[in-house]
Amino acid sequence: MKKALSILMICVMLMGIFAGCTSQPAENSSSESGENSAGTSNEVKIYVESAINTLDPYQTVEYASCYVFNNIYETLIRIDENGDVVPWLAKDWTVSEDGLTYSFTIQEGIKFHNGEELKASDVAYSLNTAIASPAMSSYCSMMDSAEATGDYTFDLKLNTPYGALISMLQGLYIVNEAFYTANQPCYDVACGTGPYMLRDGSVDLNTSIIVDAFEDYHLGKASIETANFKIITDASTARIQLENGDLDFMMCYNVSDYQPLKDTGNFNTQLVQAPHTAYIALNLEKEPLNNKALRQALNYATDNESIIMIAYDGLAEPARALTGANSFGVDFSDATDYTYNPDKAKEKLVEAGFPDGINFDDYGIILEYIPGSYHEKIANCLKEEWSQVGIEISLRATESVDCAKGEHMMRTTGTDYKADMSYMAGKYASWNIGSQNYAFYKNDRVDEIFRICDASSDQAERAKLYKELTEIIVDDAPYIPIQHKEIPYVWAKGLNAKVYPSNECPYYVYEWSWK
Amino acid sequence: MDRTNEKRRGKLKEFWRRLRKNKSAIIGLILLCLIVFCALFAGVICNEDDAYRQDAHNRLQAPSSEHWFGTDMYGRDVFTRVMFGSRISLSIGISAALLSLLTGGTLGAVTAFYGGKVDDIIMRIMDMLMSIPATLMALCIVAALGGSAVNLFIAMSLSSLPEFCRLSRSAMLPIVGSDYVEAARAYGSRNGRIIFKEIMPNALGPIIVQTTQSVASKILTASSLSFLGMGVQAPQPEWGTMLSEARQYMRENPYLVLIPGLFIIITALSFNLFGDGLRDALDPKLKD
Repeated sequence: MKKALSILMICVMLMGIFAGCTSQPAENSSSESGENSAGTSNEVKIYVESAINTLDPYQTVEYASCYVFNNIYETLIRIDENGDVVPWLAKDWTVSEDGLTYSFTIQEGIKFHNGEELKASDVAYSLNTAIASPAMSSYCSMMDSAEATGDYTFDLKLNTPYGALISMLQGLYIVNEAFYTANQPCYDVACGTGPYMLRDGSVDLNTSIIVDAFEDYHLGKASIETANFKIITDASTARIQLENGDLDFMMCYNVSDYQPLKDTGNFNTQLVQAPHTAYIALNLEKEPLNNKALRQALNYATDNESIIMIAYDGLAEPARALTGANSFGVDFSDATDYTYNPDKAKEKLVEAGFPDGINFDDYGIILEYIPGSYHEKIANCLKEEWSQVGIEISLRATESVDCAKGEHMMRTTGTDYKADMSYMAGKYASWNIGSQNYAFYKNDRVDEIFRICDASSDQAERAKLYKELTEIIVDDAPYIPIQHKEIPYVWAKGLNAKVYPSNECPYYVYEWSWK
Repeated sequence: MDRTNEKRRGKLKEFWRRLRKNKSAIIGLILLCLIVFCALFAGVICNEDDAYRQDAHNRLQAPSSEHWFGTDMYGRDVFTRVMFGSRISLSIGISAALLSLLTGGTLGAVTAFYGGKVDDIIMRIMDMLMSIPATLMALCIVAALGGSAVNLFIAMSLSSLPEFCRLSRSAMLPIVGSDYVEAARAYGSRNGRIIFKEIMPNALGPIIVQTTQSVASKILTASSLSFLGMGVQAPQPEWGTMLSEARQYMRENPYLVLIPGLFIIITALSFNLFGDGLRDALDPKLKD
């Protein structure tokens, strides 16, 4: 009797398990057809690859935060897919003769999420907050202050002439002054002019941020009612969720997932060449990295093509400097060519004074990498390739190192670049030592060229000077450039999505719709 | 002297006879021998350079006659890596178990012998250590000292110190009160001599069993720590590290996780089977 009872119990439990298994696919079957699982076709679920630290747009420039910012805030200008500037909140602007004052007129009748109208004072407040914030220095280092001169006009003053100023404004989000000052610190609230507003009580910076369409958006209400930014730190999980219909749009953080997903034919896919360079930051303050011939040897010993195949599934272009040839002023025609060449590397090692090779352990120098991403693979490839020419190095995974303060020795990292070479002053000019110049690189001629070109608007002269600059920075080799990656995007068949060649502004949900 | 030698040989024979009867123990022993063979002769079977040499054009190849276990995402030969991985896993597992045996065993013997305050103090410290989960403690120690094979081995020995200490104490307590220890005391032997010559050899059975089984758990812990990125660092071919590296490719290239995973399972299983067999063969209460 007891035995029969226990067998019955087991059967019931097994049935429970199977019932649990079968209900799952049934739920998901609707999502296969391109609709999302919530039943309404008006929600889009977007993958965010890392936790969002804050929703305060002046405390972070991390991509994950920007995905959300781009949909709740707006900027004075935007950059379209061709790299051209499009006026956005700003209507037009003029530049003073000395190039130090920009006078802007902004659009009228634009509403914030709290109902207030956008005024020049909000813009001036936003810009001044950004200028004062150390996190924004890569956008604002040339700016001095902003001042409202009327309800819809303001002046932006620079501390030094800067030819590419307007494109910098793409990273500066405009907030509502009253709301921002009243709600400090604004890490989980927001009030912008963007097409979406935060849903009350939906913000969890570690799991999900839900935004709803803003009724009074100045270009009309968005087609997609709700966007759910789902933060999933494990990329494999994200892929499974996409396949199950629990995500509608994904940037393939694991590049190796792209081809298999594309091959299924169930998704829209697109590769976008982003203005981004993965590179190794060398700290030139550390012996023996101050040895130029040694740095050149490292460059020759680096097989970019192989690294790209292994670390990024071949979806990248080899880099020759921290900026790509598609940026204005970059001309590699007469620059040193560091194509993989073990013999040249050995020659340079001899020239550097290391005829028997070098073991960086002797100098306490370790190659640090960001664990878990393609950076880890880059580091592993380098260790192996360098050892082929007699350069030995140890690896260490470290999450965060303050390269600006020179806490690193040698580290895999990445940087954006912009349409104009002037942006590279951050990486190569000596006045950016302590902020963006991770190499602690100083070359007087380089500084001089950056200064002349920033002040000049004669494009032919700038191009000529920048060509010389390119040759110097390639020859001095303060960094080891690796690759310019393409970013692979995958999204549901039924979703009309559009992506831009940008790291911080890859998409605007406002432009999307469900078929 | 001859008589004690003979007696010992007789005991050994008896032990072997009992072990042989246990089929699973023999399977465990054979598997164990195979893995030890791999570890010892990895350098003869394959070329160590193959474990590290990258080949961007031959990456993620399925198993074939040229690459028995295929190639990984760097184009390295997985067979060679698994072979050399057995060295790392076995040496970490065995040395960590031995270290905890030495330290824990001695501490246990000391507490059992002296009793009283010494016993109280040492055992309360062990209780404290025991209240922290072993893997968590190992993880914390590695996080503090930095990830490397040596730190891993220190962390794991420390975290299993209490179990060895308790085991050897409980095995030795009855012996401390026995007549021959009394006799040795009366004879005027020094305490150290009594502990190491009289007590320890007679309590070895359970401790040997515990050590063998502990090797299995050490290998598993080492692999899981390496999988979490806290153990042996890439590009060293530790099995857990290999699993971790291959995780991203699991869907398209399942062999990359199956093979190192299988080796971890087989090794842990063989130590466990053999350990069980040892216990049965050494336990006097189970005599036929």
